[in-house]
Amino acid sequence: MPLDDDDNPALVAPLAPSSSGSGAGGSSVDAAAQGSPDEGLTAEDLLEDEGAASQDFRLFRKQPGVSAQTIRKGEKDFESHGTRAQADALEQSRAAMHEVLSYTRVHAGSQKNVLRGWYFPDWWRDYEEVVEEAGDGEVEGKEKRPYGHIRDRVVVLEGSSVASKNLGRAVTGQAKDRPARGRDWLLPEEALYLVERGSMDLWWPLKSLEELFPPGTPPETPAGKGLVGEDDEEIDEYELGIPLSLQAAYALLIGNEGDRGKISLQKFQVYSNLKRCGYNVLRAPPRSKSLFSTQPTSLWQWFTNLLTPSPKPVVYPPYGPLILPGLYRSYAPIYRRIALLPRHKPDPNPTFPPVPIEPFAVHFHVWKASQKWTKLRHPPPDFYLAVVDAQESAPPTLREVDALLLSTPYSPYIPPQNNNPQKQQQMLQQGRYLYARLKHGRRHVLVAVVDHGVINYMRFAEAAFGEDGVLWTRFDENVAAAAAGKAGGKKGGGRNNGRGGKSGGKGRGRR
Amino acid sequence: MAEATTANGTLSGKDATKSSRTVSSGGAQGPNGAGDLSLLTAPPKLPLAKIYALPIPIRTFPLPTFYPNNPISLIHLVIAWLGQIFWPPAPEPSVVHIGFWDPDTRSVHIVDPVSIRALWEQGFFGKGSLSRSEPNWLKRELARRGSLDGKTVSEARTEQRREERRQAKWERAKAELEAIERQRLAEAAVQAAAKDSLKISKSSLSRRHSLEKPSAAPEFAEKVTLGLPSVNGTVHMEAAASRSDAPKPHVAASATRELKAPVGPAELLALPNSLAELRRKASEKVEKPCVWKAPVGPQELLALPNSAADLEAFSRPARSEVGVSPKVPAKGVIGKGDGSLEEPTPNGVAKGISTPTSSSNDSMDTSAPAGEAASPKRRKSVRFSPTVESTTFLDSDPPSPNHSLRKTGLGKKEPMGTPHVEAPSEPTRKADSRSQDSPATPSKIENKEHFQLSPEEAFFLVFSLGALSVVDRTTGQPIPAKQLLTLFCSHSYFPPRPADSSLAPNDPFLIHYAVYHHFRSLGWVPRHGIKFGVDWLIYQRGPVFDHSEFGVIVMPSYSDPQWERHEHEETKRTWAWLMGVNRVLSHVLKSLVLVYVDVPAPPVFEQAMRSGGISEALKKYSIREVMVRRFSVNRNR
Repeated sequence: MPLDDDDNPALVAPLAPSSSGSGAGGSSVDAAAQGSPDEGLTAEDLLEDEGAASQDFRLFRKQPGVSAQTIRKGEKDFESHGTRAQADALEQSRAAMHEVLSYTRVHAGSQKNVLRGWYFPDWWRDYEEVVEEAGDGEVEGKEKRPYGHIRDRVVVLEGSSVASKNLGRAVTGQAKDRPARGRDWLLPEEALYLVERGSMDLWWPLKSLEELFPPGTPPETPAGKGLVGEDDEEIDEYELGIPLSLQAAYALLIGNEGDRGKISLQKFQVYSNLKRCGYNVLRAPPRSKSLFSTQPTSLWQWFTNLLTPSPKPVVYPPYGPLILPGLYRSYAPIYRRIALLPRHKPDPNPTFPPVPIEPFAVHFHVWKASQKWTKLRHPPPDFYLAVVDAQESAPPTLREVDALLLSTPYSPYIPPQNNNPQKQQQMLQQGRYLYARLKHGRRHVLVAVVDHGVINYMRFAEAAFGEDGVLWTRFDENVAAAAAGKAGGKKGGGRNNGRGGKSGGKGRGRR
Repeated sequence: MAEATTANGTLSGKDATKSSRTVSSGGAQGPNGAGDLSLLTAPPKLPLAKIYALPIPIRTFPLPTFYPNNPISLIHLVIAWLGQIFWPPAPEPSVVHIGFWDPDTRSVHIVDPVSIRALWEQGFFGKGSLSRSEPNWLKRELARRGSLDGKTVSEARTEQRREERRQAKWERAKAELEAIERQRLAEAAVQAAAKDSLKISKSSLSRRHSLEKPSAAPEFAEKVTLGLPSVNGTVHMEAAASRSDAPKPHVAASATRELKAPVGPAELLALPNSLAELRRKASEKVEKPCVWKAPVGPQELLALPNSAADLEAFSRPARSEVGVSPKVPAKGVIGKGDGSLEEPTPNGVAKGISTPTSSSNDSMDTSAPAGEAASPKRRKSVRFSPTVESTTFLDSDPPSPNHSLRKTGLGKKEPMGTPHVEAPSEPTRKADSRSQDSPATPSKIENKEHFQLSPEEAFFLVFSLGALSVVDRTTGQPIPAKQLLTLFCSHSYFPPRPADSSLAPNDPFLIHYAVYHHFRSLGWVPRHGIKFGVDWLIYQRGPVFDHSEFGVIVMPSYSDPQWERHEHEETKRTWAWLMGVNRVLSHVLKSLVLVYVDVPAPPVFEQAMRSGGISEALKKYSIREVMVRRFSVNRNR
């Protein structure tokens, strides 16, 4: 049995259709920017992918276009058993590994693919960004732009490239005479991610932004063009600034929680891990009330609520028994009567959602890899993610997890599509998909628990046993079926039904 | 040659399977024994849904349905209705079971067999004190003594499944080993051919060189083969076993050996761990005449064997010596017995730790793995007992001091001076005779098992359903529910608090009861989940029908701001703990549910207790369920 359930071949989801993109020959910048898992597997992908740490390198050599997911590990040989076949296999693997490791990583040679970012930490310090209301964009007909975190953007990109399709943000609404107009500005995690991948060089400017990117120059011009004038004399680029090492980039861009223009190490690790796995990740915007489309109760509703009497509270004997001795025709009155504790009713539209308590707050919005996603136009996120440190935090308390869940939208379970909607409705009422509904929950959120760089993602979901998990409604028919001699209920049949059968080999030790 | 090996191996494997089946079916009962046992066989089997029809110990009396197109159904309905009017059935719950509160085990004991069955079948309450859950010790005991009754007991089925799994694993390992042997033979043949043709001295080739280019150096394989037995052999015990008779790597000889499955733990332990140990054992055989002494001093204790394999090498001379040593109290008995001490055969099931009678002509190293494989029954070895009368214990034995229900064979008399004297109880003595294939009748076996309800289950039955009455053993009077609550609460601490102490809202019993009541009132069957590292497991219908899908961890929560003014202890949980629990549960295909219990603040709780007792106070506990699952980034993109 594999130690990590990521490695279980039975559980691997089918591969997404491979994009007919650049393949193995694509530029590294391209691969970096898109980070798609469907891209051809380059050597650096293989080395960087944590799951690929113990891949069978022979498979890799044979099929260069294969995704890391399809490469499966074989049976482990724990000892040498003295056959030449085994020794040959080992030797082949070694040779393949050497071949893979000896791959020389080269930056795509042409000048236009080299990205350069300039570190200007204080340029947007005083920028005031309006938290845009959710419904505004569509109503006024103008394009809705997601929140930009402009104050945190500290690195300006020189030139435009494929990377700016997914990363960075140009600050719009600037006057024409502002320097570096229309250029893409990167958040610290975006910049550091690019630097770490070797796709971008981070430079420390020796001149001011106005000198590097004078107003009026189109965004494509490289830095310093407007500075020296129009003479064709080659300028020394080291007069403009100095390139920074990866260590310096980390020092400049990683900071404490809440520092402007920096990001905490844990969050960066989660960000880069997700990006490398092919997800699209954006920083979550600050909370805005309009995220929850509150539907105020109408006057009529309020009026009817006032008129309909609240159900009379059932009086119980103080110390039981709750069930009064008597004749019962069905289990419904019995179970209604012993329903003593208040049950949780998920509220699709909470009027006053509690404020999330750090670190249990949504930090990132995560999308699965898809072709349609761009940084400005994208569907609602697939996942909402909070990042916590394993050492400094504990599993959430009720208040923390409640506030965290309430900051995500209501998304109940959608049963698999059936061509007969009526039948589907019927199945829902009969309590099918019981486990699936309970496990999916009404809201769900991801929590990335980072322990010294090792990331474990946990999914927390708001279950509603009081609504989805009511079982006593079936009891009457179960009893009737048993009395009639049939095997009643959904799972009544078969003496050996419950044991070992459908779960196969993995059902070991399960009761 | 390889084919012959395979055929042999398969045959022996099948034999082993068959023998294990016979053994697990309960002793030496042959297939013909079924006829004799016709009186003992269980009544015709009811479908499970019928046995476990009721979800709680309360019956319902639904009226027949009325079909408008069938007027007779109306008559049917009227008759049923009138019948219930004039001859009303006893008000439900019609049976109030009696339980005894046992403070030592913090549980409520049920001894009446009817109540035991009723509580188990109607809602899966409680567990048998000697069983995993369903109280079936008696059934298992019957099965062990030859009745056909208990083979369907879940414990027996588990045991059988484990046996099959062990067997399958061994078969697989054997197949792998045989494939390797075939490969090695083929390579050896190729190499021999190459040697004959080439006749070149290859001594100049260094070994390192041959490692780097194995295809260029055909002798590589031979070198590894030569180095193998001394280097490893720890992982593949079978490999070591197959080679144990041939310390020199004579491949052809070991390939033809017939292999038998060393499946039991004792056999596995008995396998030699390394070649060095193998040689040591062989040399120990030489220094056979050693005198047995009781191991009292530290030197002797240290010199005691550490594993079953050692033990065997150790105890063989001791046993042969036992007859003459004056220090052994059992000497007289053994001396005057039938002399076949080497056949303890306690119950005709296990053959004892293989003590071959002819130990002199049988060489040690071959008998160890092959001889042990004959009896795959599980047993445990006793190490430090100077007497050899009982070396095996069965899992189903009750943990009482007079454990020797299965005594040695019939021909032997009870030694009066042995350290293991058992109480001479008549029924057990009678039951011993089943080693002669005479099945025991159930009336002769006393059911030593009782049924125990956890405090939460008992309080649910008392407080919610009124189907149980808990009796104080000392006074013989039923304990009223209010007193029972304080009793359970005070016993949810260790050491138990004084019974008159006031209730606190964050009492562990109350919090767990709130969760228990919550799931029970929804129709789930909660059972204790300590075996899976959780507080509760919840079953959709019950452990007989399905696996539980969810493991529940109870998380007390103090979100009421009034709690800040009251002393309370919040349990500190870590992420590592949560990941561990989740990992364990996902291995058994269960989901983890964190159940947050929002505990009311003491003023609220006390106010509710004053106004409406515990019924009112329980309404102040609110329950939130949060599903927790590990999310794999590799699988969700």
